[in-house]
Amino acid sequence: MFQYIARRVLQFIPVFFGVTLILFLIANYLPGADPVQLKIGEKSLDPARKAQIVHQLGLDRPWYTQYIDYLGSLSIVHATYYDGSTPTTTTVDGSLATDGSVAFVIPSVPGPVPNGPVFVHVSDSQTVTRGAWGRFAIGSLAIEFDKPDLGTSLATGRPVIDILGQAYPYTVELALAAILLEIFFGIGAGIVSAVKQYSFWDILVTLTSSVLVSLPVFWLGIMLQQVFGIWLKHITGGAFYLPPLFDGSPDAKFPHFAYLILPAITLASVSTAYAARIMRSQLLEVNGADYIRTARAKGLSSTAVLWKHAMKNAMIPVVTFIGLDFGAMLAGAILTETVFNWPGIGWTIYKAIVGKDFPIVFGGVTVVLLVVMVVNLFVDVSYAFLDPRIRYGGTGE
Amino acid sequence: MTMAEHHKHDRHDEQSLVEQHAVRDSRAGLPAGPPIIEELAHMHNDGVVARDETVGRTLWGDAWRRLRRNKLALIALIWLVVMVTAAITADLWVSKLFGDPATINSATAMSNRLLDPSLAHPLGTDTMGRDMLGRLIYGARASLTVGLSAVVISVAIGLLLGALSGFYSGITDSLIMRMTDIFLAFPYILFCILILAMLPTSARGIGPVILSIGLLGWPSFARLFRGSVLSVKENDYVDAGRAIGASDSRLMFRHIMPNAIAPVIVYATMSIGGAILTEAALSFLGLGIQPPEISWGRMITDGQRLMDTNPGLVFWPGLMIILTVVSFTLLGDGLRDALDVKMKD
Amino acid sequence: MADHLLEVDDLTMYFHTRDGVVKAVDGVSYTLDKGETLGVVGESGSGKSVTALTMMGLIQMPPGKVERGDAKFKGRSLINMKEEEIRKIRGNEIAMIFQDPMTSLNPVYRVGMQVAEPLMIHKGMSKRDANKQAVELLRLVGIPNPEARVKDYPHQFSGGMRQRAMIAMALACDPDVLIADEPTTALDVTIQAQITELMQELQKRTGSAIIMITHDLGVVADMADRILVMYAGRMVEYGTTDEVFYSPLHPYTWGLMDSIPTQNLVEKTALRPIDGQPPSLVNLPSGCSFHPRCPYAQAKCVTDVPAYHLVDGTHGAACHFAGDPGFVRGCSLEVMV
Repeated sequence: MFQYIARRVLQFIPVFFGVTLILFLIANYLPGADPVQLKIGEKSLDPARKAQIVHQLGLDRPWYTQYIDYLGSLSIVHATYYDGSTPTTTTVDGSLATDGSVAFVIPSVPGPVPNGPVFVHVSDSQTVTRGAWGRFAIGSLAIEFDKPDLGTSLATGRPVIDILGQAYPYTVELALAAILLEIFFGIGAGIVSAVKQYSFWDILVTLTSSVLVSLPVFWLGIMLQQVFGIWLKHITGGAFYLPPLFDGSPDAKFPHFAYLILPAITLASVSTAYAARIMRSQLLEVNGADYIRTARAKGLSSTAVLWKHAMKNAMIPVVTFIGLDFGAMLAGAILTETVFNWPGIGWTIYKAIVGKDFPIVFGGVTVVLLVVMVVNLFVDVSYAFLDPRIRYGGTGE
Repeated sequence: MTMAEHHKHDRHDEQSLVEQHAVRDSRAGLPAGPPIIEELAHMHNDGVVARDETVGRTLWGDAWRRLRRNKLALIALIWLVVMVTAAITADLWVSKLFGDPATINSATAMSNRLLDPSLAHPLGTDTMGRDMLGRLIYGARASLTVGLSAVVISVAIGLLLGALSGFYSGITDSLIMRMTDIFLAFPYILFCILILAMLPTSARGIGPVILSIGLLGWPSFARLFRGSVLSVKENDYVDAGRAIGASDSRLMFRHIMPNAIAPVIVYATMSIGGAILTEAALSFLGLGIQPPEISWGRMITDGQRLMDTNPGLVFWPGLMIILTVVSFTLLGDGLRDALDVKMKD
Repeated sequence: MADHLLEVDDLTMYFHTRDGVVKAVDGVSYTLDKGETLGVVGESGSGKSVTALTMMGLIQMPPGKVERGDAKFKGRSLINMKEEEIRKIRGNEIAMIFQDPMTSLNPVYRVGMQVAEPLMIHKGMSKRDANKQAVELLRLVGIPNPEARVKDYPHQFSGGMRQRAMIAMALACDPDVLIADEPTTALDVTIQAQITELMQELQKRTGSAIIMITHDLGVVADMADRILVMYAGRMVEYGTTDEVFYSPLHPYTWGLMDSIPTQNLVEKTALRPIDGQPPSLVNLPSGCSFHPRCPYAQAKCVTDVPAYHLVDGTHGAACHFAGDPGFVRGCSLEVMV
């Protein structure tokens, strides 16, 4: 088992670097896009001013230096070397940027080791905070903890990380609600469909899932909004309906969870269809297995065969799928959130796209990708616990 | 002797098929796996041909026969043919029948807006007086173009890398597999959104959409093809070919390709549906096809505000998306059964 | 004559499929008494396994259908039994072990639990008692250190041990009949001998009857009291082991004998496998199903289906010329070394 886990973790590392590298390359080198405008907004600049800004932002440094800086900005842990005697509140040039060499990213700053947060230059005009969340020193080398720095919003000037932090709980909430729906209805429908193969239920489930899988999610959201939010209101004369759009204000007409219903159903719909299909096909496949025949030959009833022997085997891929799906939902469900005005990460990113507030777009996508990668790793590793063949590897002789 | 061995193998399969899938409950309860006894009989009817022997005519002729029997797949195919024909010929007849679906004729725009369905406009008109049916057909053209082009790109990259990976193994293989891991880590839509969001509005359009969807879709094809290449590589006739001195590329094209291509065809067909959905989503968000070009996704955005009074503005484009994507999925399913491809979900 | 433990009479089962009727079992009859071992021999597709599965009610009906005949266990018809009744017999009075122990054991459950399961179902034992009994059963079948092994998963066992565990599972409730469907085919030759020895030992101890289904004549030569030879779903020869081995009646049996590698060859002769392939059960040859491959086929063999008939005491065959001494002598001189 540990081999399996170790292998998975080792595989994660190049993927992490690959993904962040691609993100970085997109941000800075996408053909047709101007990285300066993306960082400071669409302003027209004369060449001299532009060159100045390019230098200020450190965009004229070699790509690998910029990439390492980018990785550094994502990190919570940093190291700084305090080696001098000048007071540290004075801004000082770091040794990193100007000569272009890629030493391990530890800026060297005249010390002594400070007590609270300080501002450190990592290049000309690039200042970062260090030690805002704590510091821990070994001699002159300090290990410092800070919020990841994803830039600041062009519209409001607030740190991107704060904006995202505010939005993420909404996305998590929505994802949890959708996953619960998916587990209950997806697995249930899959089981019914497999057990009563070719019956009315099976055909219904198969057809519905085929349609759901081909559905544009945002269209479904709009239709649900219309039917349950507006028409239902007309029909019941305003007595009973579901709110079509999110309202987070204190005098909102509905309790918070009511606003969650339609978005959760929308978000869950496609995934539930997939989950049902996988459950069904897994169950049918397991059914043909030899050990099911053995179980029946032992005199087990069909219910016992289903729940004891078949399900435990069939569930493993289903659980994995749902885990990965949860990760995908945490990816912000941009379409669903946009349709319902649900203020999660997806909605935040979309608003930023429309408002050309690029730091939020890029920071948001970065965070989302990292979350998805970590969740996937987690699901991968948990597989080792689910399947006894991996948990207790090896054959006895 | 090889043929007899192969056939003996078939016999053994037949025996275990009968057993394996014969274990069921006579009441309701746990049925066994997929219907197999047909497989049994089918293997007999095919006569003495070893299963992976001749690939050429037998495989495709068989496949076409089997596909014809699948009614759903046929309906899907017919619908797609109709749509493709309408889309390709659109320039010739749509404007004449329904008026120009793209440009706004300021003279008639206001007077014609939001008309109810009539003979002149079978599905009514939109907020600018443009005929809905005409717009839907042009939307079909956009979606089909994006779908097919993007998948072609993905398949091209995927086949190349998959072939290299499977055929050469070793470091090439590991490297390419790592890359598939990396690309698969990206949630599809988010990646496309990121790229398209970064482009200035003037640079957006159908081209970047096709590229971003296509560039992200190759890993599945690479893995699929690599798997096929690996399993086919083991077979006798590849060694035989090598023994008579066939070069690497000749081996790949003549011997490995025909066998390995079937799952790719199936998966490609199903992927077109996914590409169409992605395009619709991107256009809905305003990042995809830009007006005055027509896209179903964009039509939904435009019609959203008037959902209450004119639900058709949103409903029809959505329905078209569903029908098109379902058709590709059904066709893909049909192809999978016809070509006898065993793919996990 | 005392009642037989198991009595199969003209058992016939066809699968009705979209592409035709598969005549999987056609007119099979035999008896089995307490402590007796019956060897059922035939190629893949001969219907030898399906016959047993039909008796146990493990075939889905439809598409399967018992056309005629019966199988009586202790006087009660298995074919006509309701599902609830036959379930009480499965794993309890009649137990089965299967060919591939790796796939026949559930990979996600511990071996001990799987061996204990029949005890909990049929004997109502508590989990703890059943597990204790499972340890003893594992010991009985010769698995070393059973207290520890009982907690292992199937993939942690070797092939031979897995099959032993399956035997333990089958014997848990002390069945009257043990049906072994190709138990050694998936194992190494050396392990094969161990398993068959084990089965014989256990049979001596428990007195249960065994139905040994196999394509390997060598396996049954030692173990079986009687032998049933099947071909294309039909029984072609049936008799005691001595009868079948020393005076086989059916050309198919002759062919099978000829292809056993034996050590007592007078001269070196080439092994003669039977020419051709077994027929499709959907599309059986006319007349005698074996005629396309039979070196001694006559015109009658192509047109008339030979009925199984007794030739000598309880020894019989389904060949037009079985029992015709001239025919047999003439041909068998050619065959016997």
